[in-house]
Amino acid sequence: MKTVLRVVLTLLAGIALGLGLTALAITSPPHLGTVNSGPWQARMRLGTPEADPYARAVLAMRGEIPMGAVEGLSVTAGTDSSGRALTGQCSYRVSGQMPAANHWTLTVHRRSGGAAPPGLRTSYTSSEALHGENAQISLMLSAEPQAGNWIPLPAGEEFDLALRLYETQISTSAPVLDRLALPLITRGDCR
Amino acid sequence: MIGPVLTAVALLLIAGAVHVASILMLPWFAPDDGFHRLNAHAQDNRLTLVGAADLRVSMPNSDPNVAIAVCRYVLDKGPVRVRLAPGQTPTAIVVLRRGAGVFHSVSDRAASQGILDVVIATAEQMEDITDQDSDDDPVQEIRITSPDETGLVLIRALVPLPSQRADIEAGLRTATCDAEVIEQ
Repeated sequence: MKTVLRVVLTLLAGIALGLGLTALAITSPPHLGTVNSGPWQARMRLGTPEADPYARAVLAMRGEIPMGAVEGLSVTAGTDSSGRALTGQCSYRVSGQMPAANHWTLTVHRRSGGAAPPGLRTSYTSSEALHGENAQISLMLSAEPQAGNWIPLPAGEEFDLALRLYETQISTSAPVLDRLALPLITRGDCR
Repeated sequence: MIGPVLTAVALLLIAGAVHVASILMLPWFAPDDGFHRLNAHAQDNRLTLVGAADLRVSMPNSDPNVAIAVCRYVLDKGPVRVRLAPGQTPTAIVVLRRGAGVFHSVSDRAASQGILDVVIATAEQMEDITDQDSDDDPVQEIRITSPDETGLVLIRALVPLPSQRADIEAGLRTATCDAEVIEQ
């Protein structure tokens, strides 16, 4: 009787532990098949049949269709350049040079997965943004309005940034991201 | 002493197996993954434009600066041909399988004479198609063999400026996704 109880408890504990690990892998995906550059991260071969199982599981839970391999490259950041989680309680400046691509878009995605209210800007494209000298870019992210390139943040909510590069020679099949110059994400004031 | 060690080993093995199995099965059973969200807008062998407002609500993790049209290809009666005249902005045809995500994508750079022409067929249908090829008539279309009889075709075009959306969406409305009969 004692042995049966031990087997059943071991089985249940094993299932719970396995599912717990899966939940953890979805919320904090392992750095398997990822390439990092500062706070920016790309998952290798995301828009191909060779995408790794963790990436597929995360995409499934986020309800996302990745960019196809021929479309370009998407990199995401969940922290600023100092490693602190991105939150709507703070303001941020995204600055520097964008990688070589015919077009780019920078989008704020709520970590909750919720849709932004209608009419609220959540992104900038390379055609919309005002560029500085030498094609340097400076975008402000904050809950309060700012002059220049400004994306309103969801007040108090955590968020991720997605930088999508269209028609770029940079490929997720080659680990070149760590050699790429990607913009800095600098935290400003917090409430 | 052996009892607790065996129990710990068994626990780890079970946890590992459950973890691997659940990660692999998640894309197949997730009720609200990208495939299902797009599928809700799709019609069999017919392209449907998904408006910006619908895209914002149903796919909040997508790039909002794109115009998309979707078609559910069904190959039970024959192959499906997707034709599109890409505009001036980056445009791609992305083919999706349930549970497996993107399995093929073709960009506007592959267009021939201004037309992106893609044929999706089962392996058996593809054999019939290639049997009819002749050396005098070079193949212009891009051929994709689908492992499944049904899946989704997503046409995605970048909208660099909001003022361009209407024109880009109008361009996508002229695209087609039609079932074809293979002439014997």
